Amino acid sequence: MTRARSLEIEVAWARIISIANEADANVARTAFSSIIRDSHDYSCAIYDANGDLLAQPTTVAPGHLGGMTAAMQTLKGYFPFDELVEGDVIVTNDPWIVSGHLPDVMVTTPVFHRGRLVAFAAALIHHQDIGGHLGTDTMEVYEEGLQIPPCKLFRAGVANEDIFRIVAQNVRLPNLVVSDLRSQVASLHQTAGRIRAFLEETGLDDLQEIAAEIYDRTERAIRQMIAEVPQGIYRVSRVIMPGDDLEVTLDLTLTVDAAGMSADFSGTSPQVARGVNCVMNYTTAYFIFGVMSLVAPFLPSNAGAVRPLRIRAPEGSILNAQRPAPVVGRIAVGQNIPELIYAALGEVLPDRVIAESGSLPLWWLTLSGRRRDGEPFVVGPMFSGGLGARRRIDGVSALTFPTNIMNNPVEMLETESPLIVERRELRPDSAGAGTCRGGFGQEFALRVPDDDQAPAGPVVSFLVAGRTQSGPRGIHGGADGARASISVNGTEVGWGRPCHLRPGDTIRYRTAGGGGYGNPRLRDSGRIAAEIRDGLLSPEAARDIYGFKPDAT
Amino acid sequence: MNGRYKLGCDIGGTFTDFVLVDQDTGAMTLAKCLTTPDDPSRGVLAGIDQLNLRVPGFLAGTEQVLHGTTLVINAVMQRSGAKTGLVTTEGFRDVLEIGTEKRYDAYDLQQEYPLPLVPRHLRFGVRERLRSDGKVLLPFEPASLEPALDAFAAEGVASVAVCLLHAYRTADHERQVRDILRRRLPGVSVSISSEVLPEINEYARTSTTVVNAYAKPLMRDYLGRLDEVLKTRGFSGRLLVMLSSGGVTSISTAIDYPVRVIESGPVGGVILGQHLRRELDLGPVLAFDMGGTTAKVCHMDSDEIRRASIYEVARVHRFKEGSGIPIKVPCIDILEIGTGGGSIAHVGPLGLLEIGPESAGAAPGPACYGQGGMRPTVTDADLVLGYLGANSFLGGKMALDTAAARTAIRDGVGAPLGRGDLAAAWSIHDLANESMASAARVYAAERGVLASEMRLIASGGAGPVHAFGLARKLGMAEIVIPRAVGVASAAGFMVAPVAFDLVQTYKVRLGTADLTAIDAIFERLALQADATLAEAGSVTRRRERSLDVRYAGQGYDLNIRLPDTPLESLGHNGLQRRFAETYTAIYGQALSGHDFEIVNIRLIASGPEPTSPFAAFAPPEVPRAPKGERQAYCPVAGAMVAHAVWDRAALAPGLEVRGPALIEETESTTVVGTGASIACDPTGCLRIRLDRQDKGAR
Repeated sequence: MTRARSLEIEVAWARIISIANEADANVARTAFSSIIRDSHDYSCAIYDANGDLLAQPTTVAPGHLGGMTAAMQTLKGYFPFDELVEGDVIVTNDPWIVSGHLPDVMVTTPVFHRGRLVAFAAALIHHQDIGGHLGTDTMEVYEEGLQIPPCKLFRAGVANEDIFRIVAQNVRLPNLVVSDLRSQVASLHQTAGRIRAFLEETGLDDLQEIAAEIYDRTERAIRQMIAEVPQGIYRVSRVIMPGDDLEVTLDLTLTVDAAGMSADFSGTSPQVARGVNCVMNYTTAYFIFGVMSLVAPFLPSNAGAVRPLRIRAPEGSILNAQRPAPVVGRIAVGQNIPELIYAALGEVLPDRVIAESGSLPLWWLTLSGRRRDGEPFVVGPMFSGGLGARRRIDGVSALTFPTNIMNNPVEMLETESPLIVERRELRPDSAGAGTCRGGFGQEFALRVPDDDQAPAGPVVSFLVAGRTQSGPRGIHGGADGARASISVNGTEVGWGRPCHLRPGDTIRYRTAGGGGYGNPRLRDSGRIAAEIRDGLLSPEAARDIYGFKPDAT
Repeated sequence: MNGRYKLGCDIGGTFTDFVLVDQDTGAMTLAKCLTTPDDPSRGVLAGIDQLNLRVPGFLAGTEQVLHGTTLVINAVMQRSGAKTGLVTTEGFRDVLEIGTEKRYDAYDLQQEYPLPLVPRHLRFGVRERLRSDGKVLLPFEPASLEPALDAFAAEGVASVAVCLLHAYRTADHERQVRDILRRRLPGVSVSISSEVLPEINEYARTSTTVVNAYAKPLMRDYLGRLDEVLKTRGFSGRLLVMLSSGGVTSISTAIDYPVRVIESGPVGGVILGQHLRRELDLGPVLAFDMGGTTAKVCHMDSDEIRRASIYEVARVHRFKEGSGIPIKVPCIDILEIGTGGGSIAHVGPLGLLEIGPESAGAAPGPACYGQGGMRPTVTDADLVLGYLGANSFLGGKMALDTAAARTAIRDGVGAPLGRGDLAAAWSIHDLANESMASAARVYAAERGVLASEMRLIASGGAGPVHAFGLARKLGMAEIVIPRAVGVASAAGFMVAPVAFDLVQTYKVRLGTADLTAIDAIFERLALQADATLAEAGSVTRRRERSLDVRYAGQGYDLNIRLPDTPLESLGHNGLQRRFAETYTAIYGQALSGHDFEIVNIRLIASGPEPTSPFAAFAPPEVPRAPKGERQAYCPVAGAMVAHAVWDRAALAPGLEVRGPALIEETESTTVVGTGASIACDPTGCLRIRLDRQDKGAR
């Protein structure tokens, strides 16, 4: 790599990352929906001419990135790369090709420089709506909305308006979704322009030499980091409940050897007739996230980083579900994968693992109804549990993990609906005790007004949740966090099916606290005293669990 | 007041900068003193004493002292503010601690967050409740405040923040709480959210009100003391304070709203840039300031300076958004980049060079300062490359150790990467420029503008050293280096108008909005702003009225400027058209069939623009010749080559010099490479014109 080597590689690399960040900024600037702007539920990436992942922006969702990266290889079979021309844009939301559920729509375009294919710009947006049934009580993917197989949204720069019309006809918010799709495509063109300008300025013919160099360096670095993990075969099995009456076993055998790390999910439960199945791409994405967060949190997650990683899950299992399995609520299962990896390596990487988190899986809540005057409202408050404790640091209270989205203000929710939020407060005694404790969970209580602002008819609460049967586990002697619960007027209720609320009803959502780390009796007494003073720890719990004597401080 | 002088004074992290302008002659006198963090007014007086030696008795003839201070930001960062209590609606005392729930780093499992400024045992809920339309759901029950009153008294709380749900609509409950607090806890200062930030979103509003409360006693004591001390020295003019929004205000307003004074330093540089843009007719510009720990950029292309409203202080991870304490106040839309002269160069996990985010700061400082710093910094690279003179730094007051810089670079970068000293130093300099250029490109993309079409206005100690490399990377045609480049912030204060920003949340669908009611709110805000301006001895000359608008149901607003006519006369259709046009201009499309929703009403009032104190520039009488020559690195030749070294004062108008050249002044050195010409314009600014770039130039 003569040319690329003479050009200082780090400057070129900084520039490529900057192009990825620009792409990300462009989507945020031109998209309409709040799910994109505020929650940042989208991801951009740059692939090389072979479709290998070259660079992604600083802010990227693991599920998206893994999905797009796998999709680039699959798309070759549909559209051989040497037949693509400038201005082509490919679109698809096939869960088995991209990221495992229909709202995630991916677009990509080839980038040409001096007549040669040099890169792909790609962007994936979790669209506000994709039609279909809202809920995980689906039997097959056909109920979950519009499926777009890989097809050309633009041919040589000319839009295929038929596809836009099909999308518009199939979603509840046609204007919004089509506008977002158009801005998604516009961002690709801007990224392509930046890549061309970069090559033009530097006099390079393509990106392949830089890409190869970066992959090799990343691979060397991650191999070094994996080499710090003791070799061996690590097994872990967990029973989770992605539904009130649904038990699922997740089995992982993790092998760390000279070749790298490989995961085998043999023994995992079969796929189910409920919308919580994961496609292989999604499973892979969260496996990579789990490994990277544990072993190499500061390395770029590119094609080189994944070379030493292997993954296998039995076909037809809930982690490698086959068509036409329903998949809309895949978070309830797939997000457990990082914790399986932490559990497997907990003994050998005590400084790095964290205890189980109350925020996992993400709680996905929709409240809908009609105001007094008949106008419909839909709000989706977000509230997290506590992060698991670390060896030397307490878990953070109320923090999303492993997804990364922002909550919405109570004042906004009350403006957009007639509902009244009674409480958003940390849950005392919810954190798993330990030398370092887990983060505290929170209580979010909502009341349906029964005065002159009472809604017309029931308010429907639809929730995908977790951790309601047992709390997140502590590690290395730490106690479990308090389990989550949902109650209506004081009576505990389940989740997964729509729940009808009447005027005067109060529903309380209590998220789980994070698990603790290490023997609680070894916790610093000053911290215990401070938490008692702050009303987060009851004197009884301090005495019984921590063995705390008030006069000892 | 018809004093002859104006004094600008900016308290920074390390230095306090002074610019004294004689409005009769245009003469500027500059001074720099060490900042005295325990009591910053001591540093201010030391500077005044220095200036007094050169301009005897100036203070009695000074019309205005324009003051910028990092007091608030330091108090939050060092946790040295007042013991503060918080009163919220019952059930919401943890809003401050729960925050946004978002992680600032997706992969880092060990991340930590700043502790809330008010611990939980000093946060109390009271019984009261408003609805989102401002109507009372539950009247305030004074008895429910008793536990808070007892605890605040027992704990010796000095300041209290009050933030109740929906108080941006109706301030009544917050005022009742405030009145009781004042009566029962005399001497305790109170900040209520409906005055500090009457804007929807309880977390941002609580956090902002808490920072305000936390800093209020400090600000009151400090400004009171400074004002008094200035008076005892014979000052009879007005002391004004720089706001983050780019205007200046009276000390009484600054004491009420210290959170608005959050960071005045970079603002001064931007105001100066804006002033030059207008005076010199520069078109779109990028103001670029580079100091010891960070660089800042701000784009300007019209008389309005773009404002942002969310700011973050005391980040646990210096440059990770989301790792600090958010405050929502009007501030100039500046991008902060983690690259400064003190940024440490190191080899990252990929075996590639990386710059920062760690910084050697002022202590131990770069290796070449000889204060114990061992790791290579950007300043060390600049010295080894010959861009800085070992004996001319800070006008020769501080000798730099080239050997120490070379050793640090060799050990930290050269040896591990197998590069020679020069090659290693150049890669540090060049990568620092690339990091800043990359950040500037993203900043430009976010605002839909092109960096290559702007002129670069460089300031700060390291700004002129890196401006040429940065401008090259961004494809810019011209660089402007202002006078007083090392004290640009203090100079900027001189040209800032008295101004104040007000906001009021008023959420309503455009289709059903009562336009006369909105006009009435604008009227009320205007009266309030006029009173604030009068307090600072000014009168309103200009009002910018705007609305934050979005499509109903969307989570993101757009600020839309309004004409000066009443909304009533525009009508619903006129407004609808205006909103749609703005959307199209920014997003390239507008949604059909969607109703607009008004979220916030905003008004900025400003006084007359001060007349330029810099207009008169008398070139000093010095020989028009370089003062010498120095070997410095030329990337085109890939070697050290002779650079002419000019004293900046020798570059009088009419003389044009070709690069490569180094232009030295006390506070900085302007580096100009091959392929550019340098001239001094009639106002004393250096203008560097870059030749059209060839491909591959770096």
